[in-house]
Amino acid sequence: MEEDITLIEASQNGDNNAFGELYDKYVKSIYKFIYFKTHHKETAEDLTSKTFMKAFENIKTYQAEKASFSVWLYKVARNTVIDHYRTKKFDVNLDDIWNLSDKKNIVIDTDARMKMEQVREYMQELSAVQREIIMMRVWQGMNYKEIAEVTGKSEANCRMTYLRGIKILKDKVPFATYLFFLVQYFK
Amino acid sequence: MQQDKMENILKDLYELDPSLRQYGDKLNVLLQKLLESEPDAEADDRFVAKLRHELVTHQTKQTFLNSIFNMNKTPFVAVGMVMTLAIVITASIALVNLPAQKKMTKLVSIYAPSAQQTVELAANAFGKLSLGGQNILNKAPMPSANLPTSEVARSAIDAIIPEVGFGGGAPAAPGSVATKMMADVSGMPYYNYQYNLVYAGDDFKITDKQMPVYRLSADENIIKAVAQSVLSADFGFIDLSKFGNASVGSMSLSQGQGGYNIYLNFDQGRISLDKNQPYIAYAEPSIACLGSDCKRGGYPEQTYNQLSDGELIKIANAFIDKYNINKTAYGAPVVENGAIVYPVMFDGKLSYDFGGYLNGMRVTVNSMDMSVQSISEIINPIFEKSNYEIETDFNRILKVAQMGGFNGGFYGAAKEGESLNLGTPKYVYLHQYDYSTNDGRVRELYIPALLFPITDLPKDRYMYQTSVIVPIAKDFLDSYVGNGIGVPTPLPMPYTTGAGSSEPGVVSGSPGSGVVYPDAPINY
Repeated sequence: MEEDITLIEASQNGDNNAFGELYDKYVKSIYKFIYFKTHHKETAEDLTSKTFMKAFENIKTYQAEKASFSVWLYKVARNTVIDHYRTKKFDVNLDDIWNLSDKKNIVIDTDARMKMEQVREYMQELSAVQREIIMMRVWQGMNYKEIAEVTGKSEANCRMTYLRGIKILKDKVPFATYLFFLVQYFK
Repeated sequence: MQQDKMENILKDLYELDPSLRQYGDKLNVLLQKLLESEPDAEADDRFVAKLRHELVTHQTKQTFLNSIFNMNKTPFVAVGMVMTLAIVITASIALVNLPAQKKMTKLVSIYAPSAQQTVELAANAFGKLSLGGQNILNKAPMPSANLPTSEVARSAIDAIIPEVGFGGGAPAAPGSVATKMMADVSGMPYYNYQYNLVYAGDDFKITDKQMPVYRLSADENIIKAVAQSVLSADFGFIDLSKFGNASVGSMSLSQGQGGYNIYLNFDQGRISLDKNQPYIAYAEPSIACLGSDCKRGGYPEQTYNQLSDGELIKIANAFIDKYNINKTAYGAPVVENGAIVYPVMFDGKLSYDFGGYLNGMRVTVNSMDMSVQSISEIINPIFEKSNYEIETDFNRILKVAQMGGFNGGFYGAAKEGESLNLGTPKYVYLHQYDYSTNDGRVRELYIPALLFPITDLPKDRYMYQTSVIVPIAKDFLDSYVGNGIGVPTPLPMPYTTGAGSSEPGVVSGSPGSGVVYPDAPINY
């Protein structure tokens, strides 16, 4: 993070190349974060562009003592995704793609849709916050401190939310699937 | 790696709640399912590079202000700067509030750089370069069987007449240099045997293992912005704004008689234009009138001026400067087959097509009124760049060159056994269309190649090609060697056994004479 501070200060002084280096460091993880919430390549690219443009335009407002740069970026990305779904004016409160029923007219990448189907029935049992925290922890490997800063909750709250979410999912695993894996395990 | 990830997650869960240990098997199943369902979320390298370029070249109002006020200038210059600043700020504010049409102008100007721009991508970013889907005979004129000699020459010439744009381009104007050239050259004989190509150049070694392939960047923002501008217009009889997410493929504009037609191909990112010809209608418009006494509408008869290369280039340059056509992608203009060519250049190397003709912006001049007749291949000079492996075995490349390159043969010999010398090659770029993309848009690649000049061109016949080009990107060469060599070459022209020329390979004789079809030679 020391090197981030140097680059951030340079960016705040108008050095676009320094911002470019920050971008290189975080673009792929931010894109992933957004893709997990949208499951559509073009939408994810569009929102990633918006995220970094917002970050670029507002780099002077960033304060290192309040949060790390990556957390700040994730917050911008998260808000950009929330705004995206809210401006779509669906008749349900849509926080992310998991809330969506099949009838809604949203484009999702075919590959993502197939993978989603494997866990959709589980994930839809969770609240949006539980889902988000599980995705950040399991898919993105973020620690609780980072998750807390991005979501605006306390670390303790994030741990409990994550734990409750996993317990709900654990109870959803069908007996048949459990048996099948047990057999595979002992083969 | 997935196993490690699962173990770490489990460890974390047991720390949060040790009672979960009794559900270890179920948690394993659950985590396996969760990890397997993780979407493939890798960002596209091209998107990453393009966004980076936009960010790094982006200039906010604040940055602009900083650059003005931080400059170390004398007071009288500062006054000028403040005035400029005031105008810029006013313009910026005004632009923010403009309707979509005017915003598009600003958007387009952002994307037209003042110098050739390249966006660096990871190696092999354009996928496998292959011959499949490539129109390799696009520009290389081939003799066509069953045509008489002058028609063969004419068809070869037609293939090299500069393109004047898609759909509606004008033919070479009467009195233009191109039509004069057709008249001169069509009188020369054309022969249909293959030359033996012999390497007579210096020892040559390829030392680079990788070289960049360039691709003309296709900017989707412009096509969407233009479409939005059109869709938001109020036509009164249709609401086009309902067709959201549309983009523009192509568009044409016309100034009417005496002016120019402008063709915008947004899919390929290029613009062409050509001049409308004045049309004079005679008093008797009947098209059924036959015979030399009939007068018909047509172009006025005039004589043409013989212009030197320097004069042609001067006329072309003046037009290009007048219309602010961006020249940064091109090298110095040269006159080639009657057209003024501004060749695309990368790293100091010129770009060619397979026929050995320069690739780039082409200008034709009407030498009757000495005005620009047409310009084709005006491009926005933004390119993507990706390194590819290069074939370093010069002998392998030479073998392909000695077979005439990717044409599979080098025709024009008067008899079998005639040979031509290939000189020491130079590094160039080969322009190729790529039809293999999965978004339906044709892309244009510039692939590193070696150009072998023919050093002893015969003077007694027309040579449609004066060099042989061989691309040296390994992917491309491998795909050709797999698909091209060993294929029988096109049939030579038939010749008659009746009265007329006794030279084989030259069509002559009157209709009704016996026609002989020589055996097709096969190259290996």
